[in-house]
Amino acid sequence: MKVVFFVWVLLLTMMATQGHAALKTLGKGDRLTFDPSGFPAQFRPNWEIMKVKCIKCHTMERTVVSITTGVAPISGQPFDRSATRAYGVKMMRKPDSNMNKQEVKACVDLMNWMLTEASK
Amino acid sequence: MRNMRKLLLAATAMLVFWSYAGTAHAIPAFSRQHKVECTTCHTIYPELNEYGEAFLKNSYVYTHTKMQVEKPAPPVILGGGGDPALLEKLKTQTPESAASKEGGGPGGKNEGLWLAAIPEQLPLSATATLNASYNKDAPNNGEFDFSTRAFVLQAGGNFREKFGFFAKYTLYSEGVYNPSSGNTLASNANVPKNNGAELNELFLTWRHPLDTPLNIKIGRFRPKLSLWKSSNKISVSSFATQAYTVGNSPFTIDSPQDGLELNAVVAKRLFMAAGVVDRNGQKNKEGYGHLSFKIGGADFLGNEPMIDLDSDSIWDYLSIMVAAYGYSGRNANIVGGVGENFNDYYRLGVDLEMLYQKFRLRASGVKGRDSNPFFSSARSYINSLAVSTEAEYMFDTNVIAAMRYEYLFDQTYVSERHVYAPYLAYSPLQNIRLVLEYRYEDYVTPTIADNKVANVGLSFSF
Repeated sequence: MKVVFFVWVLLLTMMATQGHAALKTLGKGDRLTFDPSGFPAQFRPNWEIMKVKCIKCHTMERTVVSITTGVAPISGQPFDRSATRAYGVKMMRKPDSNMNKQEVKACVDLMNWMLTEASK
Repeated sequence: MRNMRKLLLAATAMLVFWSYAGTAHAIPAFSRQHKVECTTCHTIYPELNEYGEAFLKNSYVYTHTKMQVEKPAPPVILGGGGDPALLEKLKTQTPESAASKEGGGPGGKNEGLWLAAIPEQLPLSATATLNASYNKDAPNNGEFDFSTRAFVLQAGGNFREKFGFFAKYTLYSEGVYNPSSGNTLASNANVPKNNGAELNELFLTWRHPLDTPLNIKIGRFRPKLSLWKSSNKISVSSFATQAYTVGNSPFTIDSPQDGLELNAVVAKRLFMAAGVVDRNGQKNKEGYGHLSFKIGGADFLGNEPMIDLDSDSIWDYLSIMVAAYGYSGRNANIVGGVGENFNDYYRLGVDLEMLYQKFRLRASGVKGRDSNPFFSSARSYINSLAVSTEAEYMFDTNVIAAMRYEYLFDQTYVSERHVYAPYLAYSPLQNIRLVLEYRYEDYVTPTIADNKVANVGLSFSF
């Protein structure tokens, strides 16, 4: 009985992990983007900013690849929390990016959450 | 109707010449190699942004990848004798770099090319410049000129991040660009004659030999003097400080020279360069030095500044670069391969660049002295001074407007003038640039007529 109970707990834990970890994407190639349906409510406004601002100069595919693989595709550098901050600052300071500090912070916070999810 | 026609002519006309000396240094070969857009390194090409500056200063290497390359690889045991499993193990233990990720590394598509340090893609690109100018008072009766100014091949990149290289070869160029008069007559033939092919730059840089911060550059290059190379601009005409000559001496601070240069980024925000120049047949060596420092913004290695995302500071967007430099040289009138009537000269300069969000300010001043710039047997020295300032604003990703003011003086007094040059640049695609520029050259000497020239410059790279 104990064994059956243990197996049930294990199965439930695995199912719960799978459901939570899935950082879903939509589309392919240049149209590859994140599926926001699984985003927590507090990050929905962040996504509204990110989905507009982060495709001004490049496709969302670049961001998806960086987060899901943990490697920035252009530089080959690890794409971790310090990288999200560095890229955020870079975009904020890029004259033609049209991003202010609040928008950058929103994107960095969301990307950090995505990194956590992607690593599960 | 006549005025309308003139206006139309002027507007169309302004399809400018490129100051052919200032053709692009931005090359699509880098885009192809690193799979990035032009705006990674440029505002509107070929003007560099601060990441382009970092890329240039580090001999065409993405500096962020270097940190990764420098990570010590786990020790491996060689001598596998063709064991495929061991080969795979060795590949996985090799430190990664951008190059390897792009197929040049052991884990990439072509291991042989990577081992031979040969770029997977031929790093070649080309830039064409088509110009037009309108000058109502042009001395050659050519009020309006179209011209195909130049077609230039470029190559650049790095060999496994150990060596950087760059070459610029002018396949075709027409006439000589003179901002005072617009395009000069090149030929009466239907197809203007080529000036002749020219190797403008060809150099190799050994990066960080023996793990020192030094870079050793050798070949034909533009000595590091000003903060900006003459190609690092959007306008049609060059900055006066970089382009002005004295008497018959062809020297400018951005002339390509045959030489050897040592340079280094020290403490991330200090850049130093020093070099010697010794052209073929030259008796005395020439020397130069450069020192620049950056406050705020990304450092010279391209690292972002530490910015607090929760509070505001003026340094969030502000960066200031200052530089001082000097050059001492000697040239002469060459007769039968022998120099005579030598001209000893020097230039001292200071530069300032300030960047705040979409606004960029550049200021530059150069003071010089030539002992005999007319190569005359009766020597007489000439002091010279040039000042350039430019305020630039980026309205959108592909639209930049700027206003330039310049002052030139030399003791002949025939060329002392104030120059006012507003321009507008538009880049419909990142590899195409269209510039509309107006230059008003106000000569101080009343007997010299002022120049009013409209230029249109079109260039594209591929």
